[in-house]
Amino acid sequence: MLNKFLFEQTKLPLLHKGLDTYALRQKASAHNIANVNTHGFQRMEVKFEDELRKALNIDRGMTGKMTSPGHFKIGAATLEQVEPQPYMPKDEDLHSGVNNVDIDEEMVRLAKAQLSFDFASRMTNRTFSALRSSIRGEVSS
Amino acid sequence: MSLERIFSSLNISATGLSAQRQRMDMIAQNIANAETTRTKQGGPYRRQIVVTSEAPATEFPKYVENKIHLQQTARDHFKDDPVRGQIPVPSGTGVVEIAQDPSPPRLVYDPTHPDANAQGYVAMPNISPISEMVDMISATRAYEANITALNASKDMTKKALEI
Repeated sequence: MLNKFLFEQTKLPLLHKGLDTYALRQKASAHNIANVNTHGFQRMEVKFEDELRKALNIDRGMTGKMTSPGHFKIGAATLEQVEPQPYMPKDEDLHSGVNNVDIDEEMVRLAKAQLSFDFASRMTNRTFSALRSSIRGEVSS
Repeated sequence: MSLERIFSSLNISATGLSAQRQRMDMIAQNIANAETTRTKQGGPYRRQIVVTSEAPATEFPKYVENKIHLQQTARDHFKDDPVRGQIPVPSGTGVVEIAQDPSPPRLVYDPTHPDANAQGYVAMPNISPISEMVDMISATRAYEANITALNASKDMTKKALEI
């Protein structure tokens, strides 16, 4: 009950998904970097934003309610149902012929994941401190 | 979340670091044996190569399979969820074997060498110092990239613990 009145009114559910996604992206980048010399390796990426955009879109059209795990997903998923999903993009090997890991791109992805995680964790901290202030009835300075 | 999962991304980078270090050890061994003409197996030393492969996933991968499929016969029909099959899990890398370079030994004319054949040629190891140096630079850089990924996951874990 507290969850519904307190936490779900804020951006916390969204930030939670964000932290999960960025942590998984960092893992995928670490995996790709660890395999940079492995012949025939296929790099891994994580998709999340497209599904999230659909979930956050207010005009979702008709959606089905799932009350059992065997139910069909009809229409766009709700925020709780959106999960970061690792997949292997089917792109060609680089001209080195070893695999399709571009080390420069991978380092950029790593930095992006790290900064995004930093952002989401800071936002989470601020949300919690704002909640704390409002519970105590403090006027934020 | 268990502690195991917090450190799983550190473990991924650790597998990369260990693979690159083994590569480095092999390169050092190849350079050290560049002039070795006698080995236990007989004949000159042969160049050793580290072969890496993607590590098998330690976590149980999720399977996504639609039991019933929806057919679209009109434009406003519902779309079937296209996600099917196995979801990959990042797992790192591993050394699967230390292979021998199959290229023939380098023949050097030196009749005074005790291992020279009747024509005065000595079979030297199939090692080119230049290609070993190139491999060494590649291993060093890959090691550094793994360190960067390791530091990123360390910082992120710290940030998560501050929430």
